[in-house]
Amino acid sequence: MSERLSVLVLDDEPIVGRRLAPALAKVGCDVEVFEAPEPALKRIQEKEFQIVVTDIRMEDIDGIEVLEKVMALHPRTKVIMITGYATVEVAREALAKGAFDFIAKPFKPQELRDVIARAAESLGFKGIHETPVE
Amino acid sequence: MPIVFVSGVPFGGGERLAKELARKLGYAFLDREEVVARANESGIPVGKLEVALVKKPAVQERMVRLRDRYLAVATATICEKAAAGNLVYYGRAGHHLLPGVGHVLRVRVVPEPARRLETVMERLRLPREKAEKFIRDVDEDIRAWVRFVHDVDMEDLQKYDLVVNLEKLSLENAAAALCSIAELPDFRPTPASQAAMQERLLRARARIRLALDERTADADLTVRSSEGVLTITYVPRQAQLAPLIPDVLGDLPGCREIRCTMASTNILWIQEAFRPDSGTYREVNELARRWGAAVELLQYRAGGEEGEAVPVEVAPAAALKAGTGGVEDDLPEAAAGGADSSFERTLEALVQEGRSGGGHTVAGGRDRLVGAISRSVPYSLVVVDNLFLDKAPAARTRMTRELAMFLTDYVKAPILSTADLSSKLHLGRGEVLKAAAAGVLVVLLYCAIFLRQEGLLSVLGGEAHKAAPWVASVLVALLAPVVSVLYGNLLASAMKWLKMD
Amino acid sequence: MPMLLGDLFIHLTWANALALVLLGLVGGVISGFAGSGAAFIMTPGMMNLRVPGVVAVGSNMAHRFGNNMMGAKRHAGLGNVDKRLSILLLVTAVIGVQIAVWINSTLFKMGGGEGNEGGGGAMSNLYISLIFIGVLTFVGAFMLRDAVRPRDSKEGSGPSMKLANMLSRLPLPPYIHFPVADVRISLWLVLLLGLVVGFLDGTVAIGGFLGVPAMIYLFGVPTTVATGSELFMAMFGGAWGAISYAYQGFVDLRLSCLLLLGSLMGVYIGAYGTKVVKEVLVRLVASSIILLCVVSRAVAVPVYLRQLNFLHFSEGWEPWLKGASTAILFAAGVGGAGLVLFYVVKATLERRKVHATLLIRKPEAEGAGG
Repeated sequence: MSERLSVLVLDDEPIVGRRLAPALAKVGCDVEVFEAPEPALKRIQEKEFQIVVTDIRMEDIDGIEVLEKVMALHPRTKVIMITGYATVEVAREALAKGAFDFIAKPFKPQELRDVIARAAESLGFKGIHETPVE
Repeated sequence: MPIVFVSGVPFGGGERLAKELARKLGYAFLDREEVVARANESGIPVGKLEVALVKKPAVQERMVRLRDRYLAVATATICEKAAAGNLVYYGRAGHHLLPGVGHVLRVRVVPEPARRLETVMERLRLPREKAEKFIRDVDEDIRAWVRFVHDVDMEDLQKYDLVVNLEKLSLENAAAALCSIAELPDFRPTPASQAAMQERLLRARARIRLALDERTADADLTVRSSEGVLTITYVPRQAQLAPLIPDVLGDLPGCREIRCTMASTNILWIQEAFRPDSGTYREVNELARRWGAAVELLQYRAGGEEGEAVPVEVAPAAALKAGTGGVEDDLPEAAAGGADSSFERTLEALVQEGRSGGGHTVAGGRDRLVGAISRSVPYSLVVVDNLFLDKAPAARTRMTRELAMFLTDYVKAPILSTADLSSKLHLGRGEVLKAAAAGVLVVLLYCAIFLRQEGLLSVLGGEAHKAAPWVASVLVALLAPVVSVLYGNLLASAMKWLKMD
Repeated sequence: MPMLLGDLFIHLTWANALALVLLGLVGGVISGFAGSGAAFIMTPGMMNLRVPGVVAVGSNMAHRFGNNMMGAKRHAGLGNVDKRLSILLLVTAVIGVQIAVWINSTLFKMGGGEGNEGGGGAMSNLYISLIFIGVLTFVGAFMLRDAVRPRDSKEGSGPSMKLANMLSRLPLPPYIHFPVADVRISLWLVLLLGLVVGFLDGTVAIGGFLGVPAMIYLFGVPTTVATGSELFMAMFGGAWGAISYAYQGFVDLRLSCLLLLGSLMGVYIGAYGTKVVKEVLVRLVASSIILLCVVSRAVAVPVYLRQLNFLHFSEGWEPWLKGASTAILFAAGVGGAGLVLFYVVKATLERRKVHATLLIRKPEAEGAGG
């Protein structure tokens, strides 16, 4: 495991970050968790994450906006949208705006890991595992 | 007055038209968004369905129960709202929720493409090219949704009373025209149509209760109703749920009686490899349809590594659980290994048909197979086929047949192979002719032998034989097989005709 | 009844022609069902119709040739013939037959008594009967025990595999894999079995009675394959026998054809029977028939013993004993065939019922509305 993948997870429900962080760390990701969009966007300005995982429905700024900002700042970053209120329209909008993939809640961490593995692959990143390493 | 179903595509002006119509008519307005929100509140994650449609490959898989639940919520929401008064509903193809309900006006809105593109570009802040692609994709997704959810083609105009094209017609004028049409007597409720709607509502509510109660959430239950009598059909494997069902349903308004019945007949289908697109599937399914039977799948790998029967469930419909934030636990590794995906697909296809009796997979000796077959289930037919795949074809035929015979000790139902299932009921014409020819030849041969006994015997053991004994040998060597083959073919055809082959 | 051509060929009437067809049917049903056994009832049956023993044997051979051919073809169609197994068995079976013929003719020359069964003397008859009794008692008892044994063992209701497993552990290379039977057997064991089967076939035409169970219990070959492969092998044996008997002038083709008329139909029904009747039942019926044949033969033994002066009792007993022997034989044959027919008819009717229901459309259930 040479490199680690930098991942930002943004969801206004704290439990999501708490559950996802260890699940992603297991497969070789460095995970930073945010519960509000502003600090997250601030952090994104400081650092180019390889992968951003964001919820769509949030209080102040919604995930689509986060997506737009990330794509404007770092076009290489892969943004993965997660939401419990997915519709065809929102999913297509997100994909049109450059989201890498779209996952509807509820999902299993493995589903996200699979998507992240694909994203890492498209980044030319080798050190990621599809399944946890014990 | 009627329920007006306005169906359209996103950003196509249909929603504005529907709202305008509701305002003009003074009806209540309901849209898809509200239905979806209510489904989400009830713990039915409609988003999973939507995303499954965007990600094409697995549309049919795992989504069937979720779809049925969504349909139930949508039906209930619309019926409840419409019962209180008049209603305009805007959605994708909502009128399919109330088949058999007469006081429904079905309107399809065709957008003006240029205006729609502009709206998308402006509202979603997308460049023209991306907006065009967005529209193409969304339309395709919605068409797929309607096909998957309602099993109809959205573009089929026979399913609408009226198509409104907004290319020339302004929104206001379209609304005004619809107003007068909605008030026509053709769309007025009748006692029959009201009753039909009540029936739909009752059924939908029952489904929702069964789906949301954790005791019955994962069961394969069929809900029917007639004049306020709910009939819940369960498959034999889930017979232990029967006493719970009235409890779960409680006191549904409009429900006079709850009847729980086991699926009347059951077909057990034993194979090593299942495919939902196989001829056997069609035959078994057709049979199940005729009989109103549930089909139980049993995947059996003979001689494999021994293991207890593992029930294979169609992945339970996802439900939002409190406290997880929508992130579930990973499946334990072992659970993934049990069955292969074509087996699951077959099971899911059956669930979709409403005929699944559950599925199991078992490996090992015959005793394992027998152990996996429930004694308490009154099967009416057992289909055995496509087993012993690692053996040579010749051995496979025989071993499958032997297994079928072996099972007759344990199962009272008739055991058929697929060949039996699809066996031709009639002999082919060529075969009949061949048999007739063989018959004629046999008669001629026998006539020749018995009308010329003296000569024959002379050759076989008389004067002629003394001169040339080898003639008798040749005669026997020729006649015995010829008579056998001809007569044998005749008999084979006769056996086939008697269905004894 | 007038005889034709120096008492060799009988005069045919409608009555005895019909009797021959029925005889063929009974033999055929048992052959098709139990794998072998036409000979044990047909030869004595024909002799009862006043056919001279040697002609009975010869005509029977000729009919068996055709019969076995169709039987084998039928079994092959059902996937029950392992050709590799049959051919290997045949190689040594031919040798076995020659040994048997040699022993038989030697004993025949020793003479004794004035018996006419099988055309041999009392010594030969006794020898044949004893072999018959010995082999079939063993085989029948073994099969019967296996069939009625309580079904609590691990193998379920399949034939016992204990012996087969034991033999398969013996280090006797080369081993050969038989694809249809799906077993691996030492070549030596197969050749040995061929020899024994050939020997028994040549002695009393009961090779199949040992061959089939031996394949089942010693080699672990499935019952239906054992039956089919034995028939396939017997087809060649039958051809060889029929041609040589014909050369000697001992084949009455009319009789062969009449037998064939019944027996071929019987074989078809019997083979269908193995398809629809449970394996346990197949073995139960077959073993019962075999044991009844043993009893029949055993009843006749004192007659030969008396003829050889080993035993002394009144001559008046002789026809009774012979009659009893024949009666038991026919009871076994007709009873067995009747039982098989009964099961076949029953199974057929059951299947018919299913097929009939397949055609009845039930009203379409109301779709799962929602």
